[in-house]
Amino acid sequence: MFTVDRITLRRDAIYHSTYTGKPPDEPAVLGAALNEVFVPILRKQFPEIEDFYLPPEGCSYRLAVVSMKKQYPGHAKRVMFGIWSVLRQFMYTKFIVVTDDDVDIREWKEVVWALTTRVDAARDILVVENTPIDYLDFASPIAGLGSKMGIDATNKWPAETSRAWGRPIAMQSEVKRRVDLLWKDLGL
Amino acid sequence: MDVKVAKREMRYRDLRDFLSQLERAGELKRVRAEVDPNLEMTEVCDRVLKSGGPALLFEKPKGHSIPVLGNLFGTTRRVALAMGADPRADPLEALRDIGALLAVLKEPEPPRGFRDAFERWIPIVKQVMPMSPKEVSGAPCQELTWEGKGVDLARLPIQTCWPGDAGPLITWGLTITRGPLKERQNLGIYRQQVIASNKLIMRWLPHRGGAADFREHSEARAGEPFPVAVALGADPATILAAVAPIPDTLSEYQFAGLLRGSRTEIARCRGSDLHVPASSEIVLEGVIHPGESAAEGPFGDHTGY
Repeated sequence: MFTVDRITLRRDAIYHSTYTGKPPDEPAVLGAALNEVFVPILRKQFPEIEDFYLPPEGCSYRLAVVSMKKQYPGHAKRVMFGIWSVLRQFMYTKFIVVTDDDVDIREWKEVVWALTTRVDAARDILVVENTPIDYLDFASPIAGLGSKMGIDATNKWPAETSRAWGRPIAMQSEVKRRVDLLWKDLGL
Repeated sequence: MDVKVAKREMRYRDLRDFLSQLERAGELKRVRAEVDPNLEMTEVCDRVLKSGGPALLFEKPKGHSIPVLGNLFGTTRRVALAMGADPRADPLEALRDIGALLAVLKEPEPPRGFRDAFERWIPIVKQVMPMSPKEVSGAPCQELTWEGKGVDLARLPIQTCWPGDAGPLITWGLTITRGPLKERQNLGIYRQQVIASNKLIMRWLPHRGGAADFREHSEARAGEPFPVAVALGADPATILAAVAPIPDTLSEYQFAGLLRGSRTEIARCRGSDLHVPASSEIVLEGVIHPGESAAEGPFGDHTGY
């Protein structure tokens, strides 16, 4: 409890205020702006990180999505632990989803596509128990202590799977060029 | 990593200077009608924020003569401007440039030879080194003083944000503390619930600097009151430095100076050795008495509950 003994002011003082509510609110806008500040800091520490996104709907810090250039089996897990450790700001990030760099992580539809096509729940979900959690997070079983989850939604490499793995379908560029030329004659 | 270290010109002097720049650019509107800091302001700010609208200066908060500034950081562009971005620059790129500078400061790579030192290091060092804060006397934030019976938080237009909230809440309180073993002060934004004319409940999470300073104080100087200062309406760079991921080797005041393009001016509190931003609009000085704590809330939170 803070006891105020004295208040000093400028002449014609202004009182600066805000409120916090369900996103989007002012802290969410600030969070989105700080997200851009975080990207170069993370990439300096982990050059394999392509992009990093804290969706405002996730209270600006509780869920992170990361895209990376994967270089070896298990690499996505190293990135998860790295993010949880590198900055105090991510100490209470409950969920981290890691994707390959072909996924635009700022588009939820693409993230869901990666989750549903590249994840096996038992193999690719990591749960760490008894980690620090914001004490206002009433979903954790004990105030201040709870679990975190990492989801590896990258393509699985030979050491991670014994199955033949799918490749995203994409049209050949020469076909696209030819259709571009044809387009005006197609009457579409 | 390339870091743009173009010499920054001074972006603004203080919050008022920043506000007049915003007003000229159409990024701040004055609200002349009477609006109640109890709930109504939240609803007005919420609508304006959701439409990407301007910062708001409520000139007639109901029952008060002190105007209220709201929605200051309501768009990415205003956050970037507050961090010293060039108004002509793309705000997202400007923010990434600041991140790149922080990345270098956090973990400086040793210069690779003389040429590298000259081209890359000297400009960074030149920017950061002269940015230590400067103590001034006769600071604007101490033009008026309320003491004794004059200390009444009800004289400030503190918002009650949501129905069901336990009471008025100070939301942008830049809280300044110092641990017993440290030279450096901690700056953090902690929300504070008004519970009496001169009492607030400070909500600092255990991993934050203010809480750590208080713990160390309680161990080293058991039984002694812990001095605290809360600055309201400091210059925007200092406010944002308190929430930015700055490295431990840099003080928030230095980083704010770097963003703003001028040294941060600080003033010694009247009643303690703490130093507050000299241009702050309002400063609360006081102490935490040992053993005095209270349960906070309930309050509507940024999680939507």
